[in-house]
Amino acid sequence: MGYLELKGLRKSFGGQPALDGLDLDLREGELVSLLGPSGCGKTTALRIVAGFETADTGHVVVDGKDITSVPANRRDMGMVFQAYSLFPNMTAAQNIAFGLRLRKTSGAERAKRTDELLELVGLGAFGARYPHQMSGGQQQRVALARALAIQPRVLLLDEPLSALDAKVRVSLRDEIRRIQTELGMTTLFVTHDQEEALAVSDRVGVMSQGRLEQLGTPAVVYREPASAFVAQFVGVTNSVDGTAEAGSVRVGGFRLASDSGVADGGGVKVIVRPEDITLASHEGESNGALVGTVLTHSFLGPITRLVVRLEAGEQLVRVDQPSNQAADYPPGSTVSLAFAESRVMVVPA
Amino acid sequence: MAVTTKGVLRAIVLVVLGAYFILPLVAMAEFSTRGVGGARNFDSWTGIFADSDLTDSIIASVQLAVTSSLLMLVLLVPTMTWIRLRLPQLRRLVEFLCLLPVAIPAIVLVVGLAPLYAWVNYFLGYSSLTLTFVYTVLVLPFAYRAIDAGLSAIDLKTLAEAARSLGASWGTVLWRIVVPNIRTALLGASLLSVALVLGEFTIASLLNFDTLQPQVNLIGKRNAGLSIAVSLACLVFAFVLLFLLSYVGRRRRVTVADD
Repeated sequence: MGYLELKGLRKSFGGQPALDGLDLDLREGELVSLLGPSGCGKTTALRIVAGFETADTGHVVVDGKDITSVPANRRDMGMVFQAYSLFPNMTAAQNIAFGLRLRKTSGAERAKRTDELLELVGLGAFGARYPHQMSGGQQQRVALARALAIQPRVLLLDEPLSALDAKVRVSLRDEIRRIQTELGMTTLFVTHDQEEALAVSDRVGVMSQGRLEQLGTPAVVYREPASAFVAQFVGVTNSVDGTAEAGSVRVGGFRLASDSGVADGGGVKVIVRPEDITLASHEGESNGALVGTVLTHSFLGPITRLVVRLEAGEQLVRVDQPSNQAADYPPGSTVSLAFAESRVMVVPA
Repeated sequence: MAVTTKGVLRAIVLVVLGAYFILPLVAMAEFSTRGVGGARNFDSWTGIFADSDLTDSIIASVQLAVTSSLLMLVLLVPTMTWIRLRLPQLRRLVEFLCLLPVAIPAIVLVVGLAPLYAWVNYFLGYSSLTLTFVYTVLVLPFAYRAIDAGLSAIDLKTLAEAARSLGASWGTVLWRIVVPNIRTALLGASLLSVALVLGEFTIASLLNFDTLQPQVNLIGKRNAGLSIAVSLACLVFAFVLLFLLSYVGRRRRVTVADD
């Protein structure tokens, strides 16, 4: 039994289903990310847990207690929002102390806890500043401290990093993970940024159309996607057209051992990640190899991403090469491609 | 050259507009201090405090201004907040209802209100303070606009949800979060209400209440200097209020960039 359980949550807005029977369990102290495209229902799920939305059916259970009908202000959920949500009329310290004040914590205890939390988020000297005197990253740090101040049963993060620039986003992301691990706080993190989800989560739940497509560790979700949607949403993938053929798949003249379950002659999509394709220089006839021409190079630091146009079907494929080897395949060169068969997913077209 | 021409045009506009607004005030000041034989005195101004009917009406009007403003705030702030948070589909309807009084002539309002006020006077006694009810309705269009602008300037939904998640009741959300963050708008709405109530004549006069403007009108029939002095004092008071409003509303906030 999980610490936070979402049981069969359904929610529609104006007849449009946002959640379609969502089940999710979080263990105590675990950070689970809900990842998915806009409109997949991840924020709706979070808002139902927070008590800001009411599920049409289903239950939210925390530590064995059904809180589905408990109002938001009695749920003890700490929440950090996507938008800057600090109270503009209060200083950082007053914002953090707000929840404690409502709980009638003594002044001394409140001041002590506020100072501790400001230190925890690295803003010890910013207690007297108003929100408009702080940067976006600092405001979100204070918002995190404010959410933690009430010692919530569950910490809810609703895309808290999306309004920040790239550098601050990465540093705050790591900080959230550090603090969450340090405090052992059960955390539900909603994001549409796959890198963010994979980097900080114990488990990632990939959502599509109100349903959970897959829930697993970041490595499992990335390496063993449960569906074509997960494979294509998480990480970069190539989708190459092929044809099913007696226990294998043919892409142009190249044959790939795979039982696609599609009748012979049926169209399939071969889904493969750029790093699961190896290149070799090629000259002369294709002789059953998958051959293509390098079109462009994109330098991405440790790797360089090559775009290769396949001779078969003129399809474009992205291939990652260590940057120090990419020069072996300059634009215009002819290369043969090999897919790591164990990493390939074949789905009906 | 172009700058100079622009500067001259600006000066001309300022002088013409300034004269348009200030000349009547200067004329009022001149008239209210005019004595016999061209001498200057402040008899009309000192007379303001000597006329007990006038001071009573000033007190009544100030009381009305305060009660109307308070009742307007008590009615509008929670209603508009709740509508923005929970019933956004009703926003247009409420806006229409609040703006309606500005489209109805005061005389029409009085025709409708007169029988009603017969009952109000019967139950609550004959007091000019009962005008609070009708003045609250009268100030709705102006107050609605001011408060609506204030609520639009903050991320009400996020702030309210943040407070709720921290354990705040709806009352706390309203009092500790909404009100302090739309303070300038509330001040604006209140000042507009005060100005409107202090200047209202038609309804008070037709319903036979002795508030400031009917009293000024009455005094004008026997002592023009005194009535002009009171009118000028009211105008100056309203200008001071508006100046305070613009001064308070001038606060600017600076957001620090991410490092």
